[in-house]
Amino acid sequence: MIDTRKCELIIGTFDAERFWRDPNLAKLPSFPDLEMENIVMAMDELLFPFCEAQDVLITRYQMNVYHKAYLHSIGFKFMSNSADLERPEGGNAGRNANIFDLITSSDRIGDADPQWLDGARLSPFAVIPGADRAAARYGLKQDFPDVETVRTVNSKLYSTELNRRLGLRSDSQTVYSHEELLANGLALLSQGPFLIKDEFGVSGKGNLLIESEAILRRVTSYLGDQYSKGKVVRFIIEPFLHKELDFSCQFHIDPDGTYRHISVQKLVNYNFAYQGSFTADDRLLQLLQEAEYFEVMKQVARELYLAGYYGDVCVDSMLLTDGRIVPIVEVNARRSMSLIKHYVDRYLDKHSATGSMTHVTVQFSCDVTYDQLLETLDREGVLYKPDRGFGILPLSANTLLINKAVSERKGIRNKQVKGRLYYSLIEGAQDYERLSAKVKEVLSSLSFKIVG
Amino acid sequence: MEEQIIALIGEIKDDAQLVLSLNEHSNIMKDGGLDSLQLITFVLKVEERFGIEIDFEQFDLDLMESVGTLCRYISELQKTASV
Repeated sequence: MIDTRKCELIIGTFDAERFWRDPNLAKLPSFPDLEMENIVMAMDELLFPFCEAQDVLITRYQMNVYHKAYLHSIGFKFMSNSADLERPEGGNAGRNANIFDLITSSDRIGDADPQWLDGARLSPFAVIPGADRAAARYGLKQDFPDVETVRTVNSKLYSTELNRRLGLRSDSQTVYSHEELLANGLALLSQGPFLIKDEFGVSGKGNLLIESEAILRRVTSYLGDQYSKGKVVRFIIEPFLHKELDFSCQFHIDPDGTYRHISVQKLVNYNFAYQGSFTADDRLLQLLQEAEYFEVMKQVARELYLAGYYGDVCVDSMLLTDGRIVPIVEVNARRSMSLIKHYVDRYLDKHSATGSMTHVTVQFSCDVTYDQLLETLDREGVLYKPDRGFGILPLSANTLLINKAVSERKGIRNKQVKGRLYYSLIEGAQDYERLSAKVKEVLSSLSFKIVG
Repeated sequence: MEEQIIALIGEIKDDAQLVLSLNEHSNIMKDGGLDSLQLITFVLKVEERFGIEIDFEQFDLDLMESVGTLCRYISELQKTASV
């Protein structure tokens, strides 16, 4: 008999910031990218590395059967739902409901055994509104902080204030009106380009680089229009800093406040968008030790705990071209892509391997299946298997194929759609660049056009 | 105008090679590879370069289906603005 007390229900949504953000805040100009939104909603399949045997992963869309079989075959043990929680082509209603709303409003969590759920622990990617209701609804154990605390500490206002409270040099300032944005923005612009950041913006969304007075005035006027319609204008602005490197520190705060360091990951970004995570090398770690960076992380943990937060944390940091370290760019009081990478690394470590995590964005209209992709990668000798010791370990399938599924369910065939494949690249004794090029060659041979 | 649009895409993507591969028929988002964040930067720069104002809320992304289509839209806006 399974000891349900030890089991976890792994679940989450990757656009947590959307559910923390006050809808009454004015927004920077943006265009919706519905295909990318579909991909983000399918990203919860990336949570499988957090599972141990007997744990259950609940995903909005059931995991691809071939992907799941592959993961099981290489040693990842977990159960997951084999029915969609909602129809992928559902449209706006689905977009507005987070995954906790979806499971609370239905009688069951996918096809999970209700008996199994009783006494299991809810382990969310991020504590968003509805997580507590879902736990209560299914009798799941919950030991996470309340959502208001989590919302507060995830705001960029909190990160900005934390820098000041810890006496760290900070170039960020908060502006509370469009007039203040214009005045302070013009002052910053006289020194060079600057960034406007949304309070709950995420990588690739919610940041705007301002390089000219004309564009600043245009954005200010756009925000002024929203103010006149009752929206609240509140943004963080800061000079555009010349970065040598983005990196992040993952740590855990126990319920009693104990700090546990997990890892440091280097992030490769391109035009503000995440490209991949690589384990920090000794040189970077040495540099951080000398700069007493880890002391700052402990202080951050203490402040977060005093604010009522405990659980996983990922602090985004920067190394500037002039050698200065900016320890707190942003506090993410939740799990993170870098933490997923760390868990994949833990798996690889058991097989004496190491990997980096990245993704490739594609456009395609062909009828390729995930099974074909795995077969081709295997045939070309680049599908990771423990006895092979190198290759790529595909971490996602739905993110690649979701828009094709949406399109087909709407009766549209051969439409060119966007997809994204997340994978861990395990170099082994191979050359990183050659292996990466081989993966892209395989995707191209299957008629995927690589666009990012 | 088409050359200026293509140059702007190359500037945002920081990719000189990309400029050589684009023409009036190129899809700005798909062939130009602009994601949603780059797209807003692109549109703001288009406004600045051509002295026009685009309604972000009403903007039809189908206008990005080709460089030529966007150029015709910009010309229309310029004509309207000068009336």
